[in-house]
Amino acid sequence: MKIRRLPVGAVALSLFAVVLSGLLWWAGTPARAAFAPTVALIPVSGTVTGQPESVKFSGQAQVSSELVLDTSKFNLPPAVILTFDLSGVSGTGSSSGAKYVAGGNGTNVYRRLVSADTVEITFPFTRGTTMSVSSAGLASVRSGVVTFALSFDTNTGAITKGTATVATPYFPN
Amino acid sequence: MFLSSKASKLRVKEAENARRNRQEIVKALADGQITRRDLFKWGLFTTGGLLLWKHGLNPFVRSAYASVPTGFPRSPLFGVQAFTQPMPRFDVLPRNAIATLTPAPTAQANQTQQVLNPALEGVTPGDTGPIEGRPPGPIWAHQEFTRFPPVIAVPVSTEGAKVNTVYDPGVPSSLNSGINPATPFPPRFHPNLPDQGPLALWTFNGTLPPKLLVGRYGEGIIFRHSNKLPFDIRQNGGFGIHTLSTHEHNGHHGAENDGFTGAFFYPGQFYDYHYPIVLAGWRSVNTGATDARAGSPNGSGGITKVAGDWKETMSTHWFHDHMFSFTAQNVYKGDAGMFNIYSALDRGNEAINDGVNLRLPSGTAKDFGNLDYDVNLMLADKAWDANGQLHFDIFDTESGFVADVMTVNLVYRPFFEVERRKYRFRILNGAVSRFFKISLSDASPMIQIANDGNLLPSPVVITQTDELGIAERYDIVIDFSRYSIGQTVSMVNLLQHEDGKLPSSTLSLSQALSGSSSDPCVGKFLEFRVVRDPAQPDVSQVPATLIPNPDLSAIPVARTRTFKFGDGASQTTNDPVTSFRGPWGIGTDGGDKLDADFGRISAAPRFGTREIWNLVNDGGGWDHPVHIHFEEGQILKRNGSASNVPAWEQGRKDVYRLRPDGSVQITMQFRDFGGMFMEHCHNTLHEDNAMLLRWEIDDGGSPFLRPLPTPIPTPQGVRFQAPTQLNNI
Ligand SMILES: [Cu+2]
Repeated sequence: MKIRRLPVGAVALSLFAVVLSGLLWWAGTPARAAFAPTVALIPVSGTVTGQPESVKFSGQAQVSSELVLDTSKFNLPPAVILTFDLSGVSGTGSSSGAKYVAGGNGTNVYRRLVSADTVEITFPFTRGTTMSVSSAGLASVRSGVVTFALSFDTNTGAITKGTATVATPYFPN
Repeated sequence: MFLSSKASKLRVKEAENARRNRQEIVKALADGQITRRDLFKWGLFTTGGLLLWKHGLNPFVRSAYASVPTGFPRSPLFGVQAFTQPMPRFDVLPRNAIATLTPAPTAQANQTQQVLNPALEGVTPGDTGPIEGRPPGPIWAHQEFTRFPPVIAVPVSTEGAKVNTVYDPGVPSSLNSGINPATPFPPRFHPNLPDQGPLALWTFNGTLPPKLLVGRYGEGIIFRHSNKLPFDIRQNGGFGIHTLSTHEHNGHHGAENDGFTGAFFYPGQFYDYHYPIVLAGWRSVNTGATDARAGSPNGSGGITKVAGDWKETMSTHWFHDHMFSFTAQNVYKGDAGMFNIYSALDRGNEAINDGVNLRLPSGTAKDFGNLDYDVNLMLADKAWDANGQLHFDIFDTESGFVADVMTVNLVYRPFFEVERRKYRFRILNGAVSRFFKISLSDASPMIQIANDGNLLPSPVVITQTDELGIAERYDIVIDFSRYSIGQTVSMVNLLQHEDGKLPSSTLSLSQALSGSSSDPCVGKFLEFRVVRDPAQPDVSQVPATLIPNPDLSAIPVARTRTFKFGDGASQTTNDPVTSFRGPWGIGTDGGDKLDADFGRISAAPRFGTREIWNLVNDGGGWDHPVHIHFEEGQILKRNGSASNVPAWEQGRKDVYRLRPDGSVQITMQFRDFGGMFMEHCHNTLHEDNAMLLRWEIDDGGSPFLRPLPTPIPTPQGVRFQAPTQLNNI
């Protein structure tokens, strides 16, 4: 980043008798480096209770972490964009033994980069192998909540370790 | 931005002082003692140099009393509680026969002279000017006016706030949370908040609720927009400008109807916008109109076939002011509405089973355009002063203006009564700088069926939406049959802002509901009350296939362009009307980032060709929702990879969120009409300061003049001047 001090002469704004003796002017921002996202596989487990049956989830979530470094004058703190893919997570019905599939791929969150963060997202799931919409609409689709406990390399934004727990959504009114 | 409700008394006093001092500048600006241009020239309005204003003017600089950027005092709520008023449905604009328009619409702008009001700037008594503000002559004539003659007249005005005595919600009161439309509707954000004065709130027809334009394919509309704002430019209540240009976002119309930022018109004038409502590709695809999927409801259950590509069918638009360097102020002031477009595929009737109609949630009583279960939602954050009058910070040119009160359909955090069945919500982010991310309060699944104006190739089941950038529209289906009568469920905003640059954090649903966020617009903003079973069975559907993307693969890519969006832009021109200065700009094809000049052409795609455009966020941790007018694009890649494009962005779009540090590659075909269009950030503060460029199609269609002369509107008439252009456009 370059800071250039412009030789701006004193300008009086008579209205307020405010005198500017100079001002900082940003000459622009350097081209940024592209930060390739890093991808971590996070073990997921846990159960969503409810009708018609409880569903026990297991598998691995793929979580990509993209470092966002601000090169502007704003000096925003480093952040990460986390994108979640639950296609490697599946559920099993407690009474039917049937397979359930989790949706919501592409869900993303923007978080300040810290060494340890807890990120909770919700996701839809349904019995079967594809999260497609039937003419019945949403009657058969349910929701779960998955809480990721993630550790980050604060230099690269990469996830260094993590676990995730699935639970029943409970958000009292 | 706004102060925390826990801010100390000293801090609040400091902010009050700052607001008062700024009001003096606002007044000086309004009185013409100084101009915004002066402020820029003096360096008071630029990317640096604002620090001297500490304690006196700029509540955004770091305060002596706190380590965080300060802000305005919170908007007083006068004791009003959330979810204590019904959400009004949009107010449907009357559709009249074209013959009712006096004077009759004309292909070229109507240059009949009238005596001008001397309160208008630059007018001396006795001056005359044209009654229509559209630029005169053949270049700004309605393209294809004889081929697509207008059928429907929709007369509208923009004017100061007044009571609405002609509210038409388009549905019975039972489907409008019991609101009696015969009761005069006051210009208030809540029954117990003060009326907005006529200088504080400027809306279509001067009234609330916001207006809904209804149209269908093949049935052209003349949207006759009369400017009834004060003649005196100083009568603006502190922000907003009385010249207007209305963008139909994202109409596939000739540029003369696009609301070009420099084609503005004055109080006392009208502007005839001609919306032919045609399918893109009508010159080359399905020209014989033989495909029933390319069609329009015929009024009696059938289909009127139209030319064009049925895969270009559009559904959810909006319209808003696009005045050069004043878009944020005028849109914030209320100058925005929505536009539902009906087609054979998306006809707003869930019962007609003709093999084409997708039967999305809507209703059955009318052939098309049933609004019973098809609900427009306009989200916007607002702020008001101690008197409850709408307040805007014209000095925040850098990051964007975020306010502290959440509104839906321009009322404060309302409730909405629903039946136990499926509803479609057409959700518009109508804020000027704020992003939203929406979940239901119980995390229930929703189905996203459209993004921007367009139905997706396939519906996507979600429990939380992606970020909804400014001007983006998400159409969402919610099935309330999962609830029992008497239950409530709310829409929740998960996205926390600290200022207008970008959301500072995505919150979890539980965090957003906890009330712990410093951002008052986080949390529940719309409460659904499940009140009854539907009288008729819900026969609506959400088919697994909606509208596939147009296949552009056979069309060679004529050109690839790259646009970089960032700060530190410079201005190369100094035209007093067409150019503006500000921190933000766009760099074209490797060139320097430039501030907006609507007299400068930055790109000129050739008529009929296809191009690939790379939209790059240049080095910022902030976000830019970039809007490209006129043509729908398909996102090919995000950050260099097709696999990064989420399912809900795999249809056609008109606003592309670059994301922090991100880039988007899109493809578009330029066809059917010509003229001058725009590309800009839709964080309207960025747009106004001055992240906007002009591109044009000038080698085909109707204009046939390269390059096109730039319009310079005055009350006495529009003159033209030669444009400038970048190399190799
Ligand atoms: Cu922007």
